[in-house]
Amino acid sequence: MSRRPPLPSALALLAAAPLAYVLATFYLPLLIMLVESLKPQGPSLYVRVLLNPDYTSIMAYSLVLAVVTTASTFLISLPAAYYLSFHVEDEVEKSRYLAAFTVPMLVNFLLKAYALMNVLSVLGLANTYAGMVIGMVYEYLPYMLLPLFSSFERVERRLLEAAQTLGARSHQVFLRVVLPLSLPGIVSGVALVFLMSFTEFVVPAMLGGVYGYTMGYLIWDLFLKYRNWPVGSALAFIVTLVSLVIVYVYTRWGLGYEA
Amino acid sequence: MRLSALLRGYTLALLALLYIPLAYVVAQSFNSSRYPGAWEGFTLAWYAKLLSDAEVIGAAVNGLAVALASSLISTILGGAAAYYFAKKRRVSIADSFFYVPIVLPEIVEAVSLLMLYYYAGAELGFWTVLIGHTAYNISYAYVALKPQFLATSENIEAAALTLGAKPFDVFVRVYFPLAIPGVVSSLLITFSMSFDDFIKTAFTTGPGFKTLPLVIWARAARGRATQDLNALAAIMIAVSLVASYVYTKHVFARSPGK
Repeated sequence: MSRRPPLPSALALLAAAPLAYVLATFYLPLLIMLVESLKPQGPSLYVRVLLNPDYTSIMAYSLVLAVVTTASTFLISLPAAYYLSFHVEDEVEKSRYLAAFTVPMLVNFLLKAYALMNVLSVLGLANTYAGMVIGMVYEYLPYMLLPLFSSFERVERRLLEAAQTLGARSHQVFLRVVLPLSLPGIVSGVALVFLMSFTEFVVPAMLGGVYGYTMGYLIWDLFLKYRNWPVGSALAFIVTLVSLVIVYVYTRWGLGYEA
Repeated sequence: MRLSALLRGYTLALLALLYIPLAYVVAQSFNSSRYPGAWEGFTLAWYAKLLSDAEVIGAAVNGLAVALASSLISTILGGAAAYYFAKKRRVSIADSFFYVPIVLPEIVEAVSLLMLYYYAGAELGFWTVLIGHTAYNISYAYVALKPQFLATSENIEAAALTLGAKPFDVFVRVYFPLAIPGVVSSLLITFSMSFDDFIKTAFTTGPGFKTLPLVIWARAARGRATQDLNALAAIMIAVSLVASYVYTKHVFARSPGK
């Protein structure tokens, strides 16, 4: 095991290319963004942005939308994830169900929003808050369902039998054994959906009408419409920090990279 | 037992709801009425119209070119990094380095890249879009390929070396063939990430270089759904459903249950 052949230096050189590429096209731009936000007046711009009700109200509005989306997605996918893990015995049937939930995930986001727009207009829900939330849940459902499912799968089945033998009713088994043991999957799903819905741009813009003006839209406008790069950069940098915190929570308490 | 039946009905209903909007668009694309709605008869006219739509054809060609180039470049570069760090072991910092571009909201990547291009004086178009897509695709390739390289046992490598293979041969004839499933998923993922990309493309493209998501966006934002847009959407939905069906089948066949 320890007798590992040395890595040829040509290989190290080869690995340097992707590192340099990602540094130059991902990390360097982030640095430029930070500098851009500090250029006109230093850190005080951040204070101004965070005290400006025009910006903070949109930020708060996006946070509420993200919370509503995350909670709805969680509650809607929970029974299905539970069913797949605890009630579908046959492994082949189980993976068929999983594939059925996974396949739409890979259809273009914009297309799904557009398809839903068709149906929502028929139902008279286009350009309403409810329609927008339906759109968010529609897009993010698999991202919640899959981690929940894989967490349920890891719950030791003998513990459930033990709880039942000790007299727990089925809802008690679920609330006091299954859910606590599935916390990593819950954290993963919640963190993932929250992170994506907080800055979601396409779905609110297409389905939300006047309700669709979220953080993502604001940043979009600050760059492409108002050309206010310093404020846009500051907001994008705040979003970056929020995202990194959520990602930390995800990797610390969630299912981790593998999931 | 009654609970189980109830949950089953719920799960099936949820699945149906996921597919209904997609099916609706496909069905409407064959409807001869001028606007989506009541059924007025079967037609292929919207598809014929699509074929003579220069903007759509051009955008499809642009998207294919960028996605092909980006998936190849990023799979090679991401694969090189994955191979190197899989062999070095215990380097979680490299994982984080490549993981961040995946999790950071795309709008942040898009605006920061726009500023980089601006200060570098780059002319926006094919190249800037390609460079931008490849920036996050390298990370997807890395994530797809590293587990494959990690799974290849060092004993196999030691055996090959003992039998006289050169390190380069070991890679070409041992590691690479064993990693082919990962290479295939990497190519598929990066291709579809690039082909479907909207936000980053919108920020890093110039006049005259459009991809299909940009065309759909521009036309759908103009008002309501139209039939020729439905035909385009139907084709794209069908292609990605088939591709992702093949891909998912392959993934679930590899690891049953989990």
